[in-house]
Parts: sequence; C-alpha cells; structure tokens
Amino acid sequence: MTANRRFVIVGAGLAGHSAATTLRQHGFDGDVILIGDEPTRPYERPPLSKQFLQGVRSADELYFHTLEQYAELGIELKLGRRAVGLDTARQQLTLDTGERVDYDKLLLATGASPIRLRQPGFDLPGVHYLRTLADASELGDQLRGGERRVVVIGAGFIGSEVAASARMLGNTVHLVDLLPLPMVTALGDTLGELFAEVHRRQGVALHMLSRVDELRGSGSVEAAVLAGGQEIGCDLVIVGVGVRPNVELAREAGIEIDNGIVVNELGETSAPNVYAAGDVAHWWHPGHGQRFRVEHYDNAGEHGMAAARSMLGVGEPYVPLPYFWSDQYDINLQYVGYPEAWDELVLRGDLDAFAVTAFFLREGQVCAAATVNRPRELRSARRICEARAVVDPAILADEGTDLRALSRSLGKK
Amino acid sequence: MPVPEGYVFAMSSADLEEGGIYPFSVDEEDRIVCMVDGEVFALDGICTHEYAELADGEIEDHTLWCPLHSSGFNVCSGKATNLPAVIALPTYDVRVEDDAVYVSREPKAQG
Repeated sequence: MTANRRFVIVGAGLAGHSAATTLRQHGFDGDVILIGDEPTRPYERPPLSKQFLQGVRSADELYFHTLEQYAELGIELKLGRRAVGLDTARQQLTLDTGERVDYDKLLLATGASPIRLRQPGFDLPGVHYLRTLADASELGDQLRGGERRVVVIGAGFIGSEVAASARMLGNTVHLVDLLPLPMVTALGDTLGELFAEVHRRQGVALHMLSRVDELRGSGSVEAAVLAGGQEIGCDLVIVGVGVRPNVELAREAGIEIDNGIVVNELGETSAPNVYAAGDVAHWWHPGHGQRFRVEHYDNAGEHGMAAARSMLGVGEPYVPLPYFWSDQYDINLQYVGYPEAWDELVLRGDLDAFAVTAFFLREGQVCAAATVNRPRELRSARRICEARAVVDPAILADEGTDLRALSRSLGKK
Repeated sequence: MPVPEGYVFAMSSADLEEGGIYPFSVDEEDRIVCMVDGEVFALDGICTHEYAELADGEIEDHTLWCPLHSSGFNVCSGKATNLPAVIALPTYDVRVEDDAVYVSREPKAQG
C-alpha cells in the first residue's frame, strides 16, 4: 500500500533516527532516506560533555544502531551530505553534492548549532564549541591530559557539565556567566545555588554576573579578559552559551519560521507534506495554548517518533512531559515538567547534603520537579507532575510521606 | 530442599510483593528479581546504558525504569524499550519452589 512512496528525513541526530526507525516499526514499506551532514551515523549526544569527554565511554558506545541494523531496516543513510535546497512545490531536495532527492513526505530534523561569539580574539586557536562527536573528540584530546587552564563561558547545562568534566580530569577551571548562578534559568535560585556550591567545592572558580569581553593570545589563546578588566590566564576556552535552531533550509523554502520551524501539534509545518521535529521545531501545545521549543535529548526522540506517526497518518497531538538529566561530578540531576513560571518551591530532603527533590508549584499545582541525587523519587515526581496534582506542600516536604503510594493514588499513569 | 542444578537461591518467595524489585548477587554480579502481575522475573541489576543500580528503579506495567536516565526495559524480555539504553538487559530463568526463588546462573538466550 505504501510501496513506492518515499519519506525523507533531513538531520541524522536523535530526532531523525527515531523518526526513521518508527516509520519501519509501523510497517511503512516505502523508501526511507536519512540525510545527515556529519560523517557519522546517528549517536547519543548527552555523553559528549560528560562520559565521552572524560574518556569513560568510547565513540563506539554512543551509536544507536550499527550500519547493518540500518541496512536490515531498509533505512538508506546519506551521511556527510548537507541539504542545501528545498523546493516544496516540486517536493524535491538538493544536496551539496548536486544530487536531487524527491520526496513524498519530508521531515526536517536539522537540530541546532552553538551560538558563536564574535568578540575580539574568539577566532584564536584554542577556542572550542561543543555539539558534535568531532568537537568532543578534539576537546577531549586537549582535556584528558589534565593540567590545562580552562575558561568555560556559559554556565548552562553544557557549560556546567564541561566544567565538571574538565575539573574531573585534573584541569584548572574558571566558569563564567552573565547570570548570577549556574543553570539558573532552568532550575531557579535555590538549585542554582546548590550547583554553584558543588562547583566551588570541586575547585571551580566561578565568575558569575561576569562576561568575557576579549580573548588575547599570540598564536593561540592565552588569556580571557573579563568586563571589569580581570585577566584569566588560560590554554583553552570552551564556549557554551546556547544554540540557535538550524532553520536556513526551511526559511529559504518559504516555510514559516519563529524561534525555529513553526509546527502544529502534529509536527506539520506551513508547507504541505513537510514536518519538523526535535530541537529545531517550535511546536504548538494545545493543552498549554502556546508554543514550545525544547532542546533536550528526550524531546528529540519523542518528537521524532510523534512526527513519524503523523507522516503515516496515525499522528496524535504531541503533548509530552519534558524530561532531562544532567550528571556533574557525583551529582545526578533529573527534571520533569515544562519551563513554566512557578510561584512556590517545595523541597524534600537535604539541600546542604546535595540530596533533595524540588517540586515547582504554580497556583498550588505541581508543574515540574527536579531530583538531585534522589533518583528513586523520579518516577513518583513524574506521576505527580503528569497529574498536575494539588498536594499540600507540607506533605510533599515530609520525608515520612510515601511518595510512591501518593503518586500512584493520583490515578492512572 | 537442594538448590536446582545451575540455579542460585535469590530470596524467599514470601518476601515478594507486587511491583517489588529485589537485588541479589551471583559471584559478585548484580542481579534483580521482580514481580509483575504475580509473575516473577530475574534480570541483570545494572543498566546497559551507564552504571546505575536498577534495584533503585521502578516498575510501571511491564516496564522497568532505570533510576538515573529513565531508560526503559521490558521485564519479560529484557528488551530496551526506551532510550537512552539500546542494549537489552540479560534475563534469567526463574523457578519458585519450596518458598524460595531460584534464578539460573546463566542468562537466557536473547529472544
């Protein structure tokens, strides 16, 4: 029934991989072509700033599938190729090799790219960005010997994780951010301060409410100059100041763009038979009545699967509960929920011992939760967030409360 | 009663509770026993993704969730059903006899 139809996916990250495999799981027997601009087949990105950088996991351990598995699934990989043109009327892509690829349905899973800093000196050798396996391999080679002086710019998730990994490898680390605390946008002040203390105790020099105005060096980077004039001697600079969605292909094709590729709850873009998913997609959540763009691993997988089902005509509105984790030193952080404005924070556990579960409440409803070294409570916290339960803060905070029993009493998962 | 050939004693069956996960070890390797819908399963106790003790995880329906990064495994087959894990968890044969749960030393063939 579906034979001779061709579904093409641009972007061979997690969203693209998930979409391709989901098409096959649902019995689609037309052509599936997965195009990626990196030379490698799809792999797990989260370890790039953590276990891979630390040398604990090898590249071979990051791939989702072997090449044989893709072949068995009938997924054609076109790797190391970039889609440079999209004609939505003719339903045709042009690759950088000049090759043309016709499609019946197209998924854009083009991801995001690190924001590059343009201040003086940022073009010096020794300045690194981290997104790809190639980036991480190069950076890991620099860090694994230890004893380097490293300045990390940006204390969001990537910057904080890279700072931790660099420190664990025995390097001197300075962490600089415009904001007052690490990861404060996502986690708020209380958990931001917890992580600031974690980094300080590990010997990271924090420079919060600071910015690097200039890098200096002859031949390669030798110093970072802060806005107040303070100069930090360094051998390496790692920039992690966020990403921008890769929208160029879609924009040039006339597809609606607004903080990413605009899609509806089924992942459909403004062009017929063109879908978008993952980091690049700014999707409509009917329940929340607003759009979200999420840059986390879990979303890439789930959104890719959801878009594939839409391409097959069996789609359902994409209304996930966002989830991410971060591992820094011996601290495991997990977070569930939407980045909503919350008005009350309830803590369960011991903040000073770095073992605490935080519930974020909005008008009494639990809308998000974070576990810090309390992984056993993650599923319970997740069920409570899913239900958007109204629970007495004193009960949530009480260590005597059986959170599993409470969360399971909230109704069906 | 003697332990069946090729099996080890894991726990007393009287201690089994629905949805419970029980760690034990065989030659210093971590294993778990769990009970779902009255059926008893045995699997490796360490996540195939990154080091995490699955006894700290949780079971919902037939999915065993890793506590650290939310990988999901089917308790019957060991198959990885939710990323980030992609490798199946080895499973072991279970015999419940004489109030005891016995688990095979060697994993079952992956189905």
